[in-house]
Amino acid sequence: MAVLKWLSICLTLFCQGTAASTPCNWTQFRLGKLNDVSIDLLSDMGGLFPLMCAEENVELFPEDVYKNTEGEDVSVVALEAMRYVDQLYNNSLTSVTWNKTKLKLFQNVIYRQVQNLELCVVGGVWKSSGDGGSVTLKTYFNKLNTVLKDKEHSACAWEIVRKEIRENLVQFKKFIDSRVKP
Amino acid sequence: MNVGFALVLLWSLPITNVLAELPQPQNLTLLTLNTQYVLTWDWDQTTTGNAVTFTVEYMAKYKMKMKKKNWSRVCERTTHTRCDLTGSDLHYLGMYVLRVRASADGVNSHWVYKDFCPDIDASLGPPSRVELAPVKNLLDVTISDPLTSTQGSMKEHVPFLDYRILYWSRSDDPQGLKPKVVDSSNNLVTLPELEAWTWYCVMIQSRYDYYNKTSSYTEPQCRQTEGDTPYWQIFLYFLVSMTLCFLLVLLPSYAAFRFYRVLKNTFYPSIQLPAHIQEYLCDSSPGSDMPRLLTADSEAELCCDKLTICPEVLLLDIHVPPPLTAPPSELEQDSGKHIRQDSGDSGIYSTEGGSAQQGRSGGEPIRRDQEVDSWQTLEQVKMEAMGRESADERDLDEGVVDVCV
Repeated sequence: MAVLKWLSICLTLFCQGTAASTPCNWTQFRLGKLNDVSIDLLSDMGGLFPLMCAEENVELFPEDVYKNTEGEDVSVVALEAMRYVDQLYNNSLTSVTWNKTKLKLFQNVIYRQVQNLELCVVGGVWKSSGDGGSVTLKTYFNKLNTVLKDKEHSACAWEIVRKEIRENLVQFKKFIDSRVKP
Repeated sequence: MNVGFALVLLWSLPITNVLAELPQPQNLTLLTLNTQYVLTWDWDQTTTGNAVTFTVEYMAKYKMKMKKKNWSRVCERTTHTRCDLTGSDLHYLGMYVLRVRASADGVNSHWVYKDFCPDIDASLGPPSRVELAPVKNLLDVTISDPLTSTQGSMKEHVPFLDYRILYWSRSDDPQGLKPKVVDSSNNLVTLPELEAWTWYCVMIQSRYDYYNKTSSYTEPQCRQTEGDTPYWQIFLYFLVSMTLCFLLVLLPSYAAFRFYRVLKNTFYPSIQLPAHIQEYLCDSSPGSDMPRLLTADSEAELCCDKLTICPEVLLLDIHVPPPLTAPPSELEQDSGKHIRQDSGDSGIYSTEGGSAQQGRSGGEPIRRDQEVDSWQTLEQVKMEAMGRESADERDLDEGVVDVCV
């Protein structure tokens, strides 16, 4: 019994240790800065949400998607989120009316985040742990993809996506700030 | 036929070899400073003597995985072995892929690729300007950020830009071999613990720690610190200011005061003239600016004493009939005139006599000398002494009355 107690304590400590291990350099120093740049680019590339798309608007983003990821490594969560965004923006962008330079830079920065985070995460293997946070993220991005496809990648569909992703990144910023001490 | 075909192939092989194999540019290098990027490469001139041109293109890295890639061309068919990428759309935070190939006689070499991310690869320049200002016995160092190609601050791309400041005392360490170090991300740094009145030299380097980027150092700049003012200097300044104050304030005030006194004494003297002299000096009768002792109005001022002369009544035997009243007055008048005319010696009378001749009104006074009055009465006595006492008396009275008004 005593041995079991000891073992459980050691295991808990070890697990907590790994979970709370210092994030890699990129996550600690660059992730936040480049995320801020991404948010600014998303805001600046177009204007306010157009009125004509108000009817088609959907509010998809779940408020607590990042709050449920307490136990997971920041880099892993970040990598997942960035990958999803990258994939989303790989769709056809022909109908958008945004500033093309800013759009390209946004995509560039997101891709750069993915590349560097892959170096952080061990092996860079795509792993979805199946826990709360990850599932919510996956479901959310699937919904967004569906919306985009259903509206045939129209300008309004992309405006919805832009609004959603921006909100997503703002929540992500709060998540990083709470988990990473510079 | 087969042999012929084979021969043709053998013939063409060397030619195609030469045509297909244009060597690639070698050693792609990027020369960078802040946001200025220049791609250079090596090319062996001896292999192809003909004019060779090069083409440079770039693309964002995330597009590499797409099927449709659209490369942006930067330098087209340039004969130099370098290409300036500063003006093109390369954002500091982006990841890009660059590629170069050589072309000669319509034949192109293979592309040579190079990854480029300015944030990682572009080197950092030193601060654009350094200014030193002494503050008592410390030195304030003002650092201006390194500049982008559009004269903006590099801090917009590199927010965590740090500076390393090396400083040393010129007297202790002329070569700067053992400097002290201060790291700061501020643009205004105060160097601490310096000695007063000493020359210090400063060199500054900009740093981007995350990617281990360091710039070269700025040229050493030297400045002397200051200190508390020595006592003799304070005393000297005091003396000088006191002298100036005296010269500029006190002397003119004193001079003005004296001037005022002089003016006051000239126009408003405290010792006045005696009243009677002043009256004469200050009279305002017209046409006269000379002091007068007598005014024209002396008649009015003249005070006459009434003189009553009572002649002795001489009782004479001769009886002379009293003349008529009218003629005696006329006689008197004539005699008066006579007298007046005789007494015209005194200058004043001539005018008066004239006026009297014209016609006498009742109240017009006759101005006479007292002497003449008495003389006139005596005359009258002589002429009408006999039996004309009453008339004489009357005349006398009249004369007296006439005379004295």
